[in-house]
Amino acid sequence: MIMKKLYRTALLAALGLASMVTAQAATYNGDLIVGFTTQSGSDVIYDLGAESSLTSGETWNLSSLLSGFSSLSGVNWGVIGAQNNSGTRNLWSTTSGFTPDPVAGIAAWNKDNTAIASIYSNFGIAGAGQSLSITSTDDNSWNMQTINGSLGAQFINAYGNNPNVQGLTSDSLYGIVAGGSDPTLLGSFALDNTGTLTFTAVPEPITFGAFAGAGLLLVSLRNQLRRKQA
Amino acid sequence: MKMSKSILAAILGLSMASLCNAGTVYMSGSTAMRGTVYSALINPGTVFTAAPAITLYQGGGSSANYMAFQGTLVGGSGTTTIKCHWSGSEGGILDVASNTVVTETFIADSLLDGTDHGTNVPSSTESANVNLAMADNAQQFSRTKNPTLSKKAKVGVITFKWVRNPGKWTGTNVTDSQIRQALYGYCPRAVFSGNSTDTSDFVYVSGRDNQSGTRVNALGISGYGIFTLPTQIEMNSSGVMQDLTGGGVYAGDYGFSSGGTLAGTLGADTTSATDPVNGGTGYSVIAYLGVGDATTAIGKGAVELAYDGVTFSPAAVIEGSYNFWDNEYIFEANNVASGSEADKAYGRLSLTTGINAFCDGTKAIKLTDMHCTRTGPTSDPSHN
Repeated sequence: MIMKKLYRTALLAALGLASMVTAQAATYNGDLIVGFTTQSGSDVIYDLGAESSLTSGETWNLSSLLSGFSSLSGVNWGVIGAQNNSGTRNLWSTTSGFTPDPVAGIAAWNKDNTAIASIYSNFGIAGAGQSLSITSTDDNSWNMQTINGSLGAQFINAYGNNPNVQGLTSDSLYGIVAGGSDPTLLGSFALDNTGTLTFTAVPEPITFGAFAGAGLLLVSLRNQLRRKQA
Repeated sequence: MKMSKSILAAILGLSMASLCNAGTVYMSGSTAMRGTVYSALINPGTVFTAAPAITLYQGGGSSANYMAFQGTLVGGSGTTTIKCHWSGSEGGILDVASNTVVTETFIADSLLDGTDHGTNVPSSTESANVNLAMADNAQQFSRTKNPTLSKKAKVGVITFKWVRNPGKWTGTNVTDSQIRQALYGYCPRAVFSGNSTDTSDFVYVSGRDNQSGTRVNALGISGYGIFTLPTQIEMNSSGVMQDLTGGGVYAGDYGFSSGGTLAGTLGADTTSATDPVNGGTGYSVIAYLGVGDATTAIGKGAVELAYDGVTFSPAAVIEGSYNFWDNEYIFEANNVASGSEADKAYGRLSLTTGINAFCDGTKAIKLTDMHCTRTGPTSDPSHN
């Protein structure tokens, strides 16, 4: 059976007909994925890479992928991901600004992970930078999984929060650890009119402390300078 | 002179050979329907003019995964061979929709000896493009929606059952919600038993791979989603979960390629087996099967489950109260020539006197006996 599947996959790839027939499903790798939909036509989904590899200021030029949309101002988009890291089950989701719901436990996380893995099964190959286009009425399209789906297994129903914003704006990224802990704001993604997506991390408390310390030092130095001049 | 005689003899011989050997028809698809198709193919006058010579491998009798039938087609001449490899409904639709690209394996000509070889696998196979396929679901519910197959016929209703193994859970009914929760891969037995203390062991689904129409219906009718990835396990006939990736992953989008093989594992007692997925000792397994394969599993120790409180019976299917069933289709590849041997076989099998007439009333039900209809696994039955 495995040989038969391999043979089929190789044959389809060789003839470039993979999109016409059943494509080989990629296994979900725990990466963050960003999806775009106008709830009609085709949706675009892109693998941003692992959450742990995000850096503040990182950008993705998705202009060619998004060129099929007549205007980005009407596009719904968001970012989701899930990963079981040695028993710590993480979910990541953007929101339009509200704090998303916690994930109660393993069973709840498994539903969210199943939804994302089902979206990912339409990727031909797993990995950062991979993308797919899928009709917005497909059960595993971005539209059906995150906005309009009626199946309990789809992300919007399994998790209960819509990860999308609309148009050229920013989307807050939260990290949620299964087990009921409060979601943590990690940063935000912003989409501009060139189709470039930019991530900006929330400065960590130590960074705030360093800025505050530097500010106090500047004030102190300025005061000393004024005293000397006086 | 001698030379021209030889050439003439050779031409004559070749002509005779082509007259005697009318061709081969290749068929694949539903494992759940293979017994009914077998009955139609062996009955004199239905497809072949007389009882065909039958070669069988991997299963035995009407349960064989590889079949070959040799005889003269009704309306044909010479010997036609119909070779079948029951690869699953989704595999069948893919085979015929993409038959310029995809091939399936069949018993090699050298092994066609008119013998039932029981559970033996054929030692020699040939790869061929598929002409006809059986499927437990319409193409619109398939992974292979394109290209649209223009020649198709509804030939009966195929029925399915949920069963459980002799595991920790000892219930006799399963609901859609329980099925969905088990398919997510983390479902404590308490969800099935309703007992608050049953939280240290789990209920898993053992099922079919994504080439299966039984899987399309199990996932679709339960509301889980036909294309939602299931978390399934595979165990062997001793109740040991299998690590199919070799990386310590015992649950995932796994599944058997044959209902018969799945049925053979479900008699295993797992009350004391190690659970490598969620830990602990003892687990339970539920599984979806065609009714014929369910009978095999029950014979090995599995227990039949009522579905949403309704016990399977032909009458419950016919009236629409039992929900685990779908329409059975035969498809012809778009590039099959009109009047060819494959087209003739399709024509005979798709008549009401074809496959439909051999629905036994349990594993498959005649369309004319049904008092309700449905479009597919995502809709409810409608009583006439």
